[in-house]
Amino acid sequence: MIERKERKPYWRHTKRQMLTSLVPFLIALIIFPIYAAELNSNKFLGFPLGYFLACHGLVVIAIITVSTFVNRQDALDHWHGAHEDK
Amino acid sequence: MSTRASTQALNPLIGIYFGIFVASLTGIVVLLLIFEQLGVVEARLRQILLFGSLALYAAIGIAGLTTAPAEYLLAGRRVPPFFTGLALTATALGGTGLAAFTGAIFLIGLDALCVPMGVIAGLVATALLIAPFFRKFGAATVPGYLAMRFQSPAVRAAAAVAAAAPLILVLLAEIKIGVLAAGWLLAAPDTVLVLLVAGSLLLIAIPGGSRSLAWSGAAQSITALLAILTPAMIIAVMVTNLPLGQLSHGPVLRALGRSEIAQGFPLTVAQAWLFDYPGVEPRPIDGRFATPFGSIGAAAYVLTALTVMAGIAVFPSLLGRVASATGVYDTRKSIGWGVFLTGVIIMTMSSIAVFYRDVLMHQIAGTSPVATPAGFRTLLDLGLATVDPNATRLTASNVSFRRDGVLLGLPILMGLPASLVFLLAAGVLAAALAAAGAALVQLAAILAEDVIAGPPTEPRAPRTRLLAARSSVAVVAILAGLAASVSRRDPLDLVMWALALSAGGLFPVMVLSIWWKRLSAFGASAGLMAGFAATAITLVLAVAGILPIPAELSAIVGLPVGFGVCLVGTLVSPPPDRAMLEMVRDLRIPGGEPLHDREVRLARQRRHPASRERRTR
Repeated sequence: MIERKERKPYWRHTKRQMLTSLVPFLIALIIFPIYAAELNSNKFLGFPLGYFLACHGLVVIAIITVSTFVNRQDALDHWHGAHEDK
Repeated sequence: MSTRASTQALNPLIGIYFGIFVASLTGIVVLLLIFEQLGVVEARLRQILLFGSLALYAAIGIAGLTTAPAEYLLAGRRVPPFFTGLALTATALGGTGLAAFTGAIFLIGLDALCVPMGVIAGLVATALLIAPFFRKFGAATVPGYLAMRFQSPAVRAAAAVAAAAPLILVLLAEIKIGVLAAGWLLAAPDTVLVLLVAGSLLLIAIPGGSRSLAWSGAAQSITALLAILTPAMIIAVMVTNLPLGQLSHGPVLRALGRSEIAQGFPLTVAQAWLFDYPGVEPRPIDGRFATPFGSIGAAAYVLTALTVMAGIAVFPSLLGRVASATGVYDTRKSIGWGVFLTGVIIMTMSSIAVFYRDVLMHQIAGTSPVATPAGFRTLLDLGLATVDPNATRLTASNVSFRRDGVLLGLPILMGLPASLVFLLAAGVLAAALAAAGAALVQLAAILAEDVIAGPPTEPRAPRTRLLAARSSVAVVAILAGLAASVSRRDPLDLVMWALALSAGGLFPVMVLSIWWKRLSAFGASAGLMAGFAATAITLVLAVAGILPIPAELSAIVGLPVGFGVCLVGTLVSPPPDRAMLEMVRDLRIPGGEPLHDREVRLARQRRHPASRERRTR
């Protein structure tokens, strides 16, 4: 069980973790399609780069975002003693 | 009797059970392939697949029969991450997503990705912002959570309306798409098909509610995944010699781009606010595939992705699935699985769209309408494609395609065995049943627990609660079936409206109720009502054609209004009391007892101090 004085630092770290995960993902979500037309003249794995980023790139970034978040947030929970007791 | 989940562990044989399910599904498909080669009539094959798969889901649903409210409403909180992830995938995309997104990507290319990308972004956002905290709180429904979080009946009433409206729309849409898919498998009038779909929903949901839904939903998701991945893999091998079409359709796409230029496809740049998402009417393909912003403007693309993200992040049926996860950590993990599986499906859908366009441009275009390949004639016979009657030579612009038939069209065109085409139809039906079931059970839980019943701290006999929940499921399913048989709206429109309503109404309050501890009950109920009303009014005006913005984007009005009113309402009302602040602080910590259970237990103790329940933990 978490100690009372640990709650503030725990929440500060949690907020920081949420922002570091969410903001890059949102930037990618907005930026990739906007620049897709310009990037399409380049080639990556046989794909036009703009299409590749707007479709596959976002999916890959989403998967990386969630999986790193799951691990980092779990480490944070354990560090502050906020984890579930099983 | 509390809503506390039983401490019974997960059945260790669950993996084996699902192994048996996958084996029997594969068995059915392989048998169908054999029967097809032996010359059995196609109608028989379709019936075997339709009734075989429905019987499997219904059997799983009935096996989940339960008499405990905690099981009926929360599936006992013991659905492991992978299975929750499967259910989340099918609930987030639904049959509408599978059929309509594939068609839209085929018809307007990259532009159509704004909605599926919004869905996957919504799953990411819910993992980071909402779902783990919702699971920690432990409520079964969104209004139940908000009402207890703010200790306010007004919030409960407002949230019940704001959550029920999108659920009703999605339920209608999924029943309609389920009827469409069932119609591909069984030649019967629409009334019979509606009865069939609504009847299967009843069989799945009535015996065990959330518990039946958890396991049959996982089975339906597996069916949908297998159904879309198998034909996509075979087609990828035929076209690119590699089984992973998702990653190998690049060269095909570049060749497609070159022939689009050669055939003189115009390079259009849409106005920033144009939103021309394909509807149900057949239309020819439009614009170059890999070039963005031909049919959907840049601003509309980004805002659609963001509002769909907000809508999915708080969508009540998704949070209802999350409520039955095994824990907070497992909730995050299950959304990870959901993101992965949804991503795989989206990449598969876009590879199918590219292969379809490739076949169209290189094999169909240029032929005469009377001497087209056999597969194309089948498409015309089925009504999945239509040719301009004046055409002397087929080109990309005089062949129109029905959006929802694109998924089925490619395997027919490539001459794949009919059984695999039927499997795709069964996959769409499965995804539709999963999404409709999740909406149905959440809607019934809202009706039984938040509308009919008082606060959950009032003691009620488990039998009464179960009876209320079961009869709500029945009533909602029957009403939705009736509504679906008269509604003429495009299912995708209904889903988009639902997402707009959940984004505008629920998103601001749900996010702030976790991340801003100062938010007061008055601010929450005012923000909820204002955001929902603003979105709903914009939606109605836009559908009626009075406002010049696309109806799908109504949440761009509702979201700022919702956030703004929450902010102002909170600042003009007194700050929340100590108990409420304490509740937010506990909500933010994964460890400890679910708050919903604790509140219910403490309230009962205050009411009956003599018969104090012993704490189990």
